[in-house]
Amino acid sequence: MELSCDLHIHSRFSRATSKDLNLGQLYQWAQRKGIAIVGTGDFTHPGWREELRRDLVAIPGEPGFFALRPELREALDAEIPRACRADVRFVLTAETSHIYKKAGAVRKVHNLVLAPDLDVVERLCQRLVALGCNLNADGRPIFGLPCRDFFEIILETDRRACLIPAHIWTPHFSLFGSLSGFDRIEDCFADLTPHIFALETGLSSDPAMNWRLSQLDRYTLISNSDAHSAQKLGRELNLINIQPSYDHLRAALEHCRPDEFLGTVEFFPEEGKYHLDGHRACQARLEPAERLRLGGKCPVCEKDVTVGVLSRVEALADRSAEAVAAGARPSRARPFTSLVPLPEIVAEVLGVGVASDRVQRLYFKLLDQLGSDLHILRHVEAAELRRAGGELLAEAVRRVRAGALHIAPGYDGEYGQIRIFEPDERTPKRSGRDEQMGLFA
Amino acid sequence: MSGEAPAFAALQGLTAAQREAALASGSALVVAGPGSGKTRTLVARLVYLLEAGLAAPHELCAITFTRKAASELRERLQRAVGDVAQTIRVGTFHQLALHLRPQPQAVRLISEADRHDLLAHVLRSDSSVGSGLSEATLRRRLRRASQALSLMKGRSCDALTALGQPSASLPTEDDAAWLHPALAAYQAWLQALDLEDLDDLLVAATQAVRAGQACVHYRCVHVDEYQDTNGVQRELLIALAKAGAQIFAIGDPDQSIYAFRGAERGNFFAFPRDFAGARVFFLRDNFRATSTLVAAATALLSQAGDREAFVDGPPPQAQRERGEPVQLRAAASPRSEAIAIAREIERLLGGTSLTSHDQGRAASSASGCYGFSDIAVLTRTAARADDVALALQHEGIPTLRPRKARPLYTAESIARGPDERAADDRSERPPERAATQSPFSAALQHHAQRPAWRADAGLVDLDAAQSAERSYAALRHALTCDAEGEIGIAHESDEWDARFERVAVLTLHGAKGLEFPVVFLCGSEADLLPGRAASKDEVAEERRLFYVGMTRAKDRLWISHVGPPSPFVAALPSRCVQTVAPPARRAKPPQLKLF
Repeated sequence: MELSCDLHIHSRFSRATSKDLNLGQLYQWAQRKGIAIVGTGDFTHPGWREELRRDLVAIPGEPGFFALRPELREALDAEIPRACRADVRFVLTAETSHIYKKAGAVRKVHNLVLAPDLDVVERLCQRLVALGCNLNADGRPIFGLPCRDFFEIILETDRRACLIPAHIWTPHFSLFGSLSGFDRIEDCFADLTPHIFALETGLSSDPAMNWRLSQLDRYTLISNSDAHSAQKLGRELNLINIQPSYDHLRAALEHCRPDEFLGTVEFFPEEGKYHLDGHRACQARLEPAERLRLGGKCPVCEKDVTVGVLSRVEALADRSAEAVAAGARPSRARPFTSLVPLPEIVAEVLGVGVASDRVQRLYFKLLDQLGSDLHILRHVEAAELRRAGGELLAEAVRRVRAGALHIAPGYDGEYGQIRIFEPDERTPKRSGRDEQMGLFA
Repeated sequence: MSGEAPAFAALQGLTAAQREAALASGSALVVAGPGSGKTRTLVARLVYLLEAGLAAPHELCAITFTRKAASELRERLQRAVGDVAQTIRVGTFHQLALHLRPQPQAVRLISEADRHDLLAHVLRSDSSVGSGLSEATLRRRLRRASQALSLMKGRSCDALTALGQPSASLPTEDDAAWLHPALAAYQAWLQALDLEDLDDLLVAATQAVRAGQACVHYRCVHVDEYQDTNGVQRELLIALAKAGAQIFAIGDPDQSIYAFRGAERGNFFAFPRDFAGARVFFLRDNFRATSTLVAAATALLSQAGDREAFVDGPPPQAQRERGEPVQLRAAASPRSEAIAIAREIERLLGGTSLTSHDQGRAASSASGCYGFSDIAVLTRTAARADDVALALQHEGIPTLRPRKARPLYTAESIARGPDERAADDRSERPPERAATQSPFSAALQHHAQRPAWRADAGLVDLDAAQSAERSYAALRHALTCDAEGEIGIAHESDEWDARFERVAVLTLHGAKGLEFPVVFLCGSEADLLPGRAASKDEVAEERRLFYVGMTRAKDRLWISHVGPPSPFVAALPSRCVQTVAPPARRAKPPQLKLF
């Protein structure tokens, strides 16, 4: 059974998250998005942990997976289109932020932690508190503890728990980040490196970019949303084929067998916030070569630019992009699909902002008629799309699936701008807009 | 002198002044300002004596103020001379005092709890009070008696014997009526029970050395932080010198901040008189702080105007670049002060979250060069430190707020520390005390049944008694004894983990001897530094305390205050200070009027 799986998310106990980000929201949005297994996020936070214990129940026969309590589900289910309704399994996850000095530089690395059960979570948190960690201030706690030592504590607590370096290329907070990280995984995890088996590629890189580093060949490349609001759930995710249980999930991530770890669904990396180099305040977006030519300085204000993911990959890569394009890839390489979030496609079709009511209306109508977001993006045929959303939508989805779109790449914290239709393509269509509107009204 | 010295490895890399001090023959006093390479000189001195064959390892002794300083010194000696270092006695005065006793194993120490009970018993049985003391009065008198006892025993060896005599001078005449007999009774009880308290250790050791009963094999005794020695410690050193030891003392009278615990700064100035032929050396180069910070701190001391000529010597010489000015910030409340500090810490780290980047609290491309453990927040009072630590934690910043020190007297009191199980596992249960012959009151029955701790297992070094606050790590260290039952240094225990980096939140007293690239002096307010009713001497001590705080900083110093700033702040020359306006959006109009 193919299960879609988003392991890295946050609760409202994390900073800069949506205030209504509770288990009910996650449950509902997982269904709308088409996610079968969703991380709880933030299990280190006592408040969230209390809610997990109160609102979740262990799923019989699926150790390590949890369901929302049936009595809570009923009311929530009523708001979910029938076509989207599905089981949602929760698995215990958290993200930690590590800020510490190593080899003369300040390192800031985020890690994703998966735990097999609440007992392990409890013991881990107790140990962290005993060590003086403050777990209350933020759902993603900040530790002045090196990643390696944290990992040791995890392994000592329970060998089944796992640590996955998060969004490994993000400049400010990651394993390979240009402003925060290391050049090699060994430099971060030292003797415990062999116990790391998976890496999260983050929004601004895709597996193909990561295949350019032979040092990553032995790792499973996973993708998650790192959602700070429920609507962003599943914007990247993993496709796995397992008997549902924590241990099977872990094994799929660890061994990356082609029949178990089927691949990932990705952003186009250009859409990610840190794909290219640049300086956001001056709106200076720079290709790696351009940055090198400018000596790393912003062409407007002369300050240092933020070196993005593409540059960083280039710097550490030992395979050329061409070689990868020509088929050079590690044995763990799995297929991946690059997609654009459905609400953004709808916004492009309607020619309005993604947050507008019209986008919301059409988006929910599509979910009603066609099924989950992920299903629509990946599987629904053109004819059906046309019937539910019009010709332009069908064409937009076709182009997204084919990668035939234009993206002004993201840089220095600015998301990339997606453009599916050229202005001259849109103009004639706009004339038919009233007619389409009639369909959606 | 340095010209004739052969090329000893010990002396490599020293400045001329450090070298001269390290080579001193006879007793010597080294006046070493902040960041002048005090420990380095001390280590070089010890290693030089070994290399030059002037002393055997067992003839060397180094006395430090805290356990932490002792372990650092031991580590540095180990690096310099290898395992030979282990035969050099490095420890605190109390450890030395124990070793000077003819039979250290026979020394029986009263536990902290028992000392407390005994004092309470003595105070309760004061017949002059009649119907007895109220609980509040008893508590107050207990505190008072406990302090007076230590102060008095620390003042001089003879204070103890003078106690029974009418002329005995006690700290406050008002109290003498009840305090004097109580202390005498306490001491009589101790003797009857064949017990000593920690203060007695030093007295007894001094008396043993004077009487020629001590096994003094030390030829060269080194003392760190000499400005913080008390009367008995000075007497012990004088006795050791009379028994043939050279005394090498190093310290800084400008950093003398323990008068309230009996430290006598005057010892420093008396050194040349106390130790015949002693020479005085000055280490004035400051390698620690930027020249701006050195200038600011020096200006603070000059404010006093009545400094001893002896201290004046050559002025401090900054050896580093100019650096950033001291940042001075007024805050509307302790809470907003803490938040401002949290924000500044974020900036220093180059952002702790993406939010800090989005909100401009970190330059988008800045990679911070400081980590959490490069930063300290220092306060005048422990309560303020607790508040700041909480506020910083609330902002998600990992902080280290060492536990407040209770006076720690014996392993027993430490065993009641954070991990009782571990304590029980490790502590050696001493043999039950034989029933005492003295008729013990009901209050002391309980004491009689509680075992006294054998000194060699029970004596922890008196860091906690010595220094106002101890880290949890030190407590853990204190718990662990090595195979010989001596006090040893444990490895990092599970509960306290040095791998964790965090911002240290300390009182000014607790920061002594430490250094940090970035220091925030928080709560530098008019009424706190110095306190409102401070006497002239107290003002001078508070100024030195502020000086200690300022000189902890290597690169950057922040001074913040809620309400009017301390007069010490006004002493800082304007060229060294930059006043930081609070962020405009936080200031509300009514508040603006205040400033």
